[in-house]
Amino acid sequence: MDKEKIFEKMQLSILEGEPELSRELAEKAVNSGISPLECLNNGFLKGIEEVGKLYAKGDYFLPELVASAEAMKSALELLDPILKEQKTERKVLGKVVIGTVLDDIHDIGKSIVASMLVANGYEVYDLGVNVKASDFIDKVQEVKADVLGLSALLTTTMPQQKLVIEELQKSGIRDKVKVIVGGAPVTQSWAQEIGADGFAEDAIGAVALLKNLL
Amino acid sequence: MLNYPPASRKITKFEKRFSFRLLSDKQLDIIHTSTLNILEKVGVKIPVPQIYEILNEAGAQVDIKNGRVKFPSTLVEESLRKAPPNFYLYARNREFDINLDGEHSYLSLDGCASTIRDLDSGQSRSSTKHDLEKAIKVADYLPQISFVWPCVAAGDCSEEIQSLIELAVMLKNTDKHIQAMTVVNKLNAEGAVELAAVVTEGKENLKKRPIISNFQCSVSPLAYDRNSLEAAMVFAESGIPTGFMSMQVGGSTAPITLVGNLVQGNVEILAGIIFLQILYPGLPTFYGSCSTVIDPRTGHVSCSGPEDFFLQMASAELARYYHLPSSIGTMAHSERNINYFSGVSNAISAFSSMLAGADMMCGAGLMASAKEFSYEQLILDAEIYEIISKTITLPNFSKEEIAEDVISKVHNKGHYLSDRHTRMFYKNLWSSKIFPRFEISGELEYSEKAKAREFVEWILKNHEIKPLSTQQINQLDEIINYYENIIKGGRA
Repeated sequence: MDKEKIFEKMQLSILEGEPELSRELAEKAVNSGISPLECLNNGFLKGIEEVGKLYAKGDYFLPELVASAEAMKSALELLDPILKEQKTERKVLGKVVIGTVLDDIHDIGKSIVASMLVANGYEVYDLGVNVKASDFIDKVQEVKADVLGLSALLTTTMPQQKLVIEELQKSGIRDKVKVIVGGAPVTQSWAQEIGADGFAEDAIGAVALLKNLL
Repeated sequence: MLNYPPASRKITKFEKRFSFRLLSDKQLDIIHTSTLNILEKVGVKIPVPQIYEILNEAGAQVDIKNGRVKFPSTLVEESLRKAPPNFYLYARNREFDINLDGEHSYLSLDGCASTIRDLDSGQSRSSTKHDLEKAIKVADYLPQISFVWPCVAAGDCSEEIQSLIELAVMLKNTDKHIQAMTVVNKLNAEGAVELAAVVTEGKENLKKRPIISNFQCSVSPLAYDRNSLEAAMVFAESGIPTGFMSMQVGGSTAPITLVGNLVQGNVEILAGIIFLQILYPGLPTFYGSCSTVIDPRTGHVSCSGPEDFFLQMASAELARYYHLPSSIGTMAHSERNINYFSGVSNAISAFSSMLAGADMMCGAGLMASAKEFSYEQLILDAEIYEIISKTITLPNFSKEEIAEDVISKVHNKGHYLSDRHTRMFYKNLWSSKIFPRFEISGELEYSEKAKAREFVEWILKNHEIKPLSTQQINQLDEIINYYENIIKGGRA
């Protein structure tokens, strides 16, 4: 099959939110000698760009967006390690580490934000839920993240957001990363109180916020 | 204009004297059958290892490794039969006892918001213990509020015992029944029982007349949290009515289709109820639902819209199918402000729950999908409840009201205005100090929100709660101190 057709299929696998298919296509392509960077730039990333446009237009909604982001993640899981080995860097708008804080297991809002950021061209490391402050710090340092996103859905777990910021200060890297916070009980004034760099109420707001911060 | 009555010391419960059915028996059976399938074949996560043996002995199938408990149909039906169909929620003031007899509906506050719309500045800010105190005082006055929830969080107090501080505030500031729904772990449940026992003068009395109740929420899909279930067990041990409530969001934590949404919620709620009935057979319990759907564009939780209203009604009918009192999430519109849509939404929501016969409706006072409390919203919600109550409370079809003799007489005179019959009954007509209905020429124009606000200010200034004795207040404070020391010592 010629390269163009393969890239088209890759785009489609993202547009239709098919994680198994996207991974399969990535694997086959790499095995047949196509570079991972080409797969991304001409195939998968083109797909996710289109997803972002369709969402902005109001044709795609969150169900499509999250499915597409999952397909993107699946392809990246295969391609990123190879890129790392080859010491090739792919172009991204920014690197984001995101997660739900310690003792909090709510993840959907955070996952929607992560998907939205992926769809908008960011490299996202989603640490999941119930994440210790030290794990956030370690990942930020490991990947040299530009942004750290902290989600909390309970008033009782919100204080962790403050704690993580304090730990960043203690580690001497507070100024190296922008911290954004979110979650239903989180407010602009709380974000200001704890010294976060920004707050957004939903995923759409998060994208706009990052465009301003970075 | 400012002619508000002192507190009537009566709660305006709503009498269900009509019959209405949204779902047919066959449709309810379909939901029940799917529920049984899932309970039996998939189960629900119940991460409380210390009682797995008891569940096993009762006939449940426990997968110890992943905490998943499956309930065969016979166990489901047997356990549900043990739950009492009717019972009381008691109050410090006997006039405020809630009779969950299946023939009355009761409106409560909603909860628990983390922000409040400040009455003076009109700005949103995080809520405090003092806010809760004031809000409960207003709820204590309003006859439409039959029982209270902590409508705002005591956000300025230690998180670890926040729910205890909230309960102490409520015990001190109202003599209505208190549903202490922010208590979600063992330590706080133990503290809550102790606090309530101060007011009932002992745990024996508390068991006989539980002046507090509780419910625990599932973690959709198909799971419960360990802390939550341990709290339920503590309450059950003390005879406190403990219900189970699901808050699934169609499209994210539940199927996008409404029937699928109902089935999943049903599985979760019943699993909780069955769990507790196995451990404490015959404990008063109830069926709670605050289900909703996602907004596909933003991911926000809907809380306002035909799907919500349908889910309210269907959940109420499901509860009745199982002969359990229902607690149905009502009102709490999605808007950040009081506007036309918020009025439309809360009115239809309240009408839906009341028409479907919800036993308990939670509740009044919150905006922004239950994230923010507003005093004005509370007043306006109480007014909606009044209007709907009067709409669907059937009049007496008595000889007097049919008024054949009056009709036969008055037609000669041409009007009824001065007739004795009119004077006897005209006061039954609805009137409101908040909704203007007709402009009276010469009077200043006032918005409903402004009138609501004036009313709240009057209540806060003039209403007197029935205080506890100094000794009781001191005992409550001592218990709070005791638990504060526990958490400081890190033993929580």
